[in-house]
Amino acid sequence: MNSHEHEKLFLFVQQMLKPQEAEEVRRHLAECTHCGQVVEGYRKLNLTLDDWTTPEPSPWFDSRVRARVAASGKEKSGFLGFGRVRVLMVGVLSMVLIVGALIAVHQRRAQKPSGAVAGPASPQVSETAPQSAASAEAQVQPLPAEQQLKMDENLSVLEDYDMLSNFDVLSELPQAKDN
Amino acid sequence: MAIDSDLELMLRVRQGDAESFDKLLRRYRTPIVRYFCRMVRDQALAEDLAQEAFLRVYKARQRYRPDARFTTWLYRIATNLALNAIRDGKGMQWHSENGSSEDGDRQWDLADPKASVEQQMIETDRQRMIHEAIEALPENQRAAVILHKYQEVDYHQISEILKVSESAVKSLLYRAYETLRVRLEPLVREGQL
Repeated sequence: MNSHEHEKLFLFVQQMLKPQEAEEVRRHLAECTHCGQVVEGYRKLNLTLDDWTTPEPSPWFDSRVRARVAASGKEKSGFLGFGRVRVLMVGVLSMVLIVGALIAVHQRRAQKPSGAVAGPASPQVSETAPQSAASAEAQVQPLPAEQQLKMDENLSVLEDYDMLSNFDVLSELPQAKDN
Repeated sequence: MAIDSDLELMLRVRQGDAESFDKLLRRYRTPIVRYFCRMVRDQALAEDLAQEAFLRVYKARQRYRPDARFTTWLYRIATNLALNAIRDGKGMQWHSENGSSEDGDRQWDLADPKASVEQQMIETDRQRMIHEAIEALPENQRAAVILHKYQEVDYHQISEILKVSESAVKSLLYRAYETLRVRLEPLVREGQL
């Protein structure tokens, strides 16, 4: 018998053949000693494999499964309950932080040109607002003459007023060559 | 009292009935633990995997389709877990020169305690030889042999569990038994005496 037929004999022993095929094998076995020995070999192998035993589950197996199932239920309810609120809170918080950061960046960009006029340090920038407000108020209400004179004395730049008024900046520049 | 079918129990589990899940657990804990013991050899790992299998059944209860047999579904989950554990190299650590476990206290010894020391040794040796012969089979052949021979799952179900055709299952089993016949020949001959 070839290997294909050996497979048929194996399937016969394992009761995996259709009834008609099993009947054919049975008839063949009645007159073929060799195939009878092959079948006997598979039966003995089956008996040998029966010797492999395994232990029972430990007594605490069920309680461990129940505990794991209960823990998974809590995890799930946690996600749907407090867990979901927590996720939501984290989301809202991160949105607030992002919006805050964007506003800060926008403000810094907006303040950069005015800062360059007012001075390099930011505290000075913050002081310009009240100063400009005060000057606007001064324009509305002109100061008395005496007070105005005192203010002029305090302006150090006016000390060299004569020099500055006679200073010809253009004469200091090099003459352009005519082509 | 009528015994609830697996299907009825599983449908009740789907509706949140913990008692029905408990019934399924009691019904299948022993075959599932034994299946894992044979697949991965280490009893502690086998129990961990069996717990995981039941947990997955519970977690996936809403996805259970009533047209599929519960045992097919359960063994498919179990087989995937076992094969993943084998691929990760878990539960394969008992090989040593004398054939004893490197992690001996975790490996079961099922020799009859009433037998003599010599008989116990022979019995332990027989079990080890069978285990090693089956363990040496390719993954699918091993799963097919254990499901068919020890879990008494029919080949139609095995084909669904392993996602192969029925003829492929027959072929897997035949090739596996041919290998085992050669490897276990000394034991088969001993059995004749």
